[in-house]
Amino acid sequence: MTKEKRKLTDEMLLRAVTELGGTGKAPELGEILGFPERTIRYRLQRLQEKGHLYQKWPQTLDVKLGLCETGLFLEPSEEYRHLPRDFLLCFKNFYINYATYGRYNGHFIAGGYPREEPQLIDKMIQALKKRNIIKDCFRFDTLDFVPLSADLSKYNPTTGWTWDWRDWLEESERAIKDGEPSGLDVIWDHGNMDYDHKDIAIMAEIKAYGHISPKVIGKRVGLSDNQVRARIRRLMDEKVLRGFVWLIPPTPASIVLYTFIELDTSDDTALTCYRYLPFRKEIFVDKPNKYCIRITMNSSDLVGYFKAFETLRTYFDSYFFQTIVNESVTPAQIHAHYHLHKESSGRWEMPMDEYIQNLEKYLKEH
Amino acid sequence: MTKKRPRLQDSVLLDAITRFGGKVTATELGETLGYPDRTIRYRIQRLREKGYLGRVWPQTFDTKLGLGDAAVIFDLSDKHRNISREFINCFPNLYAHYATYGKYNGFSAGAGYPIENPQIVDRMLRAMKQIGIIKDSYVHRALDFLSIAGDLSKYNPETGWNWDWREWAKQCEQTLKVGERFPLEFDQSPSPFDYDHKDIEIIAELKMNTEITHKELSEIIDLSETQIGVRIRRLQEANILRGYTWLTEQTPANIALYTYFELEEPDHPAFTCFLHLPFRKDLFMESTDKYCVRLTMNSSDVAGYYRGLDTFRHHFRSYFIQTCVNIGVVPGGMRGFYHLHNESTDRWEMPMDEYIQDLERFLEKSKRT
Repeated sequence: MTKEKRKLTDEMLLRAVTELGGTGKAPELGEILGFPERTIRYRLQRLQEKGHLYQKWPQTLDVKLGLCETGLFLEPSEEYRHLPRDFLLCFKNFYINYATYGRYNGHFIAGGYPREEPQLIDKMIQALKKRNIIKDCFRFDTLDFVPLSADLSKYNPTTGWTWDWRDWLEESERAIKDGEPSGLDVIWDHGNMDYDHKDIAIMAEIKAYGHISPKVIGKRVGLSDNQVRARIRRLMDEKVLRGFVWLIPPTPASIVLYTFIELDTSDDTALTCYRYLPFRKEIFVDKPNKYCIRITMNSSDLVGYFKAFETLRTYFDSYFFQTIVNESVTPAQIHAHYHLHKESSGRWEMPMDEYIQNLEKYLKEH
Repeated sequence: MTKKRPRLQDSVLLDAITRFGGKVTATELGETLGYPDRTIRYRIQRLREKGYLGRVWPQTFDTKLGLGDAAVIFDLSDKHRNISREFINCFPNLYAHYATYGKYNGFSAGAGYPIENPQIVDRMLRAMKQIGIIKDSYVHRALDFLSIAGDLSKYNPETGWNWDWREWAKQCEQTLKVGERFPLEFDQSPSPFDYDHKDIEIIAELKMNTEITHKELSEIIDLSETQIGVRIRRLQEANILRGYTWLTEQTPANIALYTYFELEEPDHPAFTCFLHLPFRKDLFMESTDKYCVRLTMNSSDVAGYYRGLDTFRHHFRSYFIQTCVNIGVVPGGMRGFYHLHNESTDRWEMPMDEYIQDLERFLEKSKRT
């Protein structure tokens, strides 16, 4: 006789997905929780229907498609602090925005700019500052990113993480002192890839609708299944498309924490500590000494991270944290974002002057 | 026959204590969790022995004893980012300190100062800036404070707070719509209180050990048991001794969030919004439009707080949030701190010049090693 099987509760599953930062695939989750893949798949489906999980989100880096990624933390001025967050929609090159707290208190927006025109973003920041809408701003461009998976051996489905911040501290300090390399495989020079508007149209579909079949994509972009498959494979080979994570709605306790770090040299040994942090995290690189670590965690784990960080922060030149909550995005927005690439001109068209005029109009109306 | 009660788990008890931010009695815990006082008391004792729980702490308002209180935040400079936290001990008037993150990143400390000499805090900060330890700082002086316990009626031992940030956001919207002014009052001009060194000694001993008996106190301080009793009652009546709270700093999931803000006008409804939160809160007033709200909570409640705050933060003229972890206390503990009150001069003696010289020596020494 086998032992009576525990019931898999939604909470348990959701918690595991959250703690793994949304990356857990059905086989992995099955192994951790002790249920067959099939059950997990079915239950994930149900969680999605109930609205506890959003779609799967493709992780991409579009530099090779001529589109660079940037994030801005904007601190509103006292004068404009009542301005609704949707003034940011005037800037069509930004597709998502959040409320943020930390060194900067206000809004966080993520978006893009054409690879050859980084000054567009400066222009926007200047415009916002000139009109006294914001008093301060922090910009982080993503040159590359490295996802680091969660350490599943340290996770227990009923009690959560089975590690203690002291363990993390100890392992990290030892590794840093031993000069253990961070092992971050950062691509510093992305080179070029031959692409056309169809590649971008495919990306738009995947970004907006998650895991949809090549057949459906093909119909929408005017290609055969096989052509779509071949192009997706190429995008993956070129490391443009880099895998999928579950988007978890911000309930009940998940939180996204960004740690911005500057190192005083391009020696990144200090970042080795993140290899020992069991959470799922992404490390973003702006330039060789400027990093950002994004951790999606259950907010109950914040305190342990902060406790250990008191010691680890001494290894960094400077650092600060930002939390982001209350996201505002629609699938149409991200779809439209990719369609800023115009088929006719074969270029990314982000007319900043027009956007700034839209902002002026918006200000008049409010 | 009665149903057999399940065993009270340490995690359940600890969770309840952290959610209430420590401001809860054994009787209240017993009622909430459904166990007799006695069991709770015994189990709390055990948690303490295991190192999970601090002790009971008397909250006091020392302004009436001539002692001002300020929260000071040090934003460390890049140059001195490796500085050992011990440098804070050069200043015996900094009675407790934490690592802090937020708008300012570095350390925060509770600072005492003689009420007639508040500028010693500014002197200290100026010196630290000059030496280059800090690049920025923030001071919040507490003119008065209110301490509000967690809302027991909204707590469920199995699921935590029976509360949702959306509900909070709705309450806040309503509060702001009807313009519900902040209903509680702060004592803005504390009446003078006649005290001497012995009153301060009593508080010092209570801060070291709340469970100390009047008899034990009378042995340490040269007073009879009756006199001790009278003085404690007087301190309570004067609202100097204001009740007790568990120190939850060592409790694994405990976190304290400090929200500093400026109101558009005194008693603005945005301030009232904090009162709808179920967490334990301590409200510190610096002036009628400048406050700090400390929320002591379980770290898992942080996300909901941030989400809810987003819905009304634009009503504050300015605001920022600091998180504090890893408490440290002044060498000699609170007894040492309170004995900065000198019996012979009957004054709070905090010689800032000396402290700054100590800091310089400390830096010299750490450079050499």
